[in-house]
Amino acid sequence: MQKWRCIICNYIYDPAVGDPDSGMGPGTPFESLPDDWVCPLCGAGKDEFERVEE
Amino acid sequence: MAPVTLVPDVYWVGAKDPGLTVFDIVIPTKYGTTYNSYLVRGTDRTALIDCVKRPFAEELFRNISEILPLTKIDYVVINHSEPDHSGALAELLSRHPGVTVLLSRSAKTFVDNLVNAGFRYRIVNDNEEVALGGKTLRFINAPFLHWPDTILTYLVEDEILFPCDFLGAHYSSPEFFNDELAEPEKARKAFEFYYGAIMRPYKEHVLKACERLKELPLSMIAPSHGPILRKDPRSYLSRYEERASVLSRIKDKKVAIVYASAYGNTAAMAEKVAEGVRAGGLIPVLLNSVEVPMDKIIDELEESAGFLIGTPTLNSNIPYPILQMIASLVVLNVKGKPASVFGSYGWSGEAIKTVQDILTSMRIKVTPEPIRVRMTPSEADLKSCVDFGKQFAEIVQGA
Repeated sequence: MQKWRCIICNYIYDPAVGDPDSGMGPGTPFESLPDDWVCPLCGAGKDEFERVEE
Repeated sequence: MAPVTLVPDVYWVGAKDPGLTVFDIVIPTKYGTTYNSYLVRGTDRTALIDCVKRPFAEELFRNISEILPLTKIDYVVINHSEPDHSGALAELLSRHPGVTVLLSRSAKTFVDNLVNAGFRYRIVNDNEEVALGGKTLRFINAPFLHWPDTILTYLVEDEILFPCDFLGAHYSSPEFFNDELAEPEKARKAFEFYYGAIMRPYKEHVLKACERLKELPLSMIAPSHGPILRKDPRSYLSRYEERASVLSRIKDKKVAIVYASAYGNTAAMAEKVAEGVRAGGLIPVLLNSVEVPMDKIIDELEESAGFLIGTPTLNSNIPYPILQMIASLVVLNVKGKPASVFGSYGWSGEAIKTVQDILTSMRIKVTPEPIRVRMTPSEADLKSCVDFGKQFAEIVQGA
């Protein structure tokens, strides 16, 4: 699944892991995260993320 | 203030602000501060490390021009893009558009929004080096010390670390180096205070950096605020390490119960909540926010495994001692720490919900559900306070 990187702090959102602290279980694609979801490390919004090219 | 030589071809070219009384709106600076900026001249190229706050730009440019013309600078390193180190950058870029800004990826995003114009730049990666001719700058990624953008710059040949805010102090004095200070104990206090106000929320990152810098030869640490640390530079790192590892020394599982009470009703609830916490197997620490100094409360909150806030409601709002305590959480990283709220009220009791909402917005899961009591808590209410405390202790231990 497509990973996304926070351009502010370099946190990688891995859909396989999700963001359980925010209630986003494993398997949640980045696109399905709610619009008000923020980077769990630095608090940046979804629009501060870019695709990780593998 | 004329430039000062650290070692041959490395100069302090910053500005002093001894009259500053408050930094960043919230940090009292009784010793003023300095905005340290450094010029490193190699045989081929010259780099400026960090800028100064905008009102001090002319002073920076004047200092630089005593060494070489501004337009001869090849690079500006932005270790951290907060405006006290980047404020003068826009003016510098307008006078010398040919300069290349060296910065982290995240700093690039911030600087874009600071200068609102295009500029020449190069994003530097961890351990990347830039050769100036006889002087080499190496960049160390250090996110969250204290912004996500932070890098530290290391001058390899002279073994000087330029860590920007890390290891800094809001301290202005006529002297420049820590071994020539007239009042070293005041500078120490400023160094300690700075850690508490700025670096404290980022303990894990502080420890990571201390570990990483352990093997690095250090002749000097040249931070962006306060004295240049020439004598015993490593002792300052050790002190950070000691303070940042505070939690590893805490053996007891404590729950801080911070409250305010106008007529003793919220206080009575707090007592019963504490009883419940104890019954649940944890150590309650009762803190009356009107009597206990805020720095002591913050220490207790830092050391606690979870915390509870007892608040009355005053004209539909949160009373100031509680609001102040919530605002003071800015120096701690409480994200993910268990917490909840309780309180007695007279008319409408909005404060409990308001505190709950604030905690939720800080990414704290508020549980168990807060409890509110109108006026004097009854026997049944006091019993539910005990249950609430006990339940909370269980949640903390499960967390």
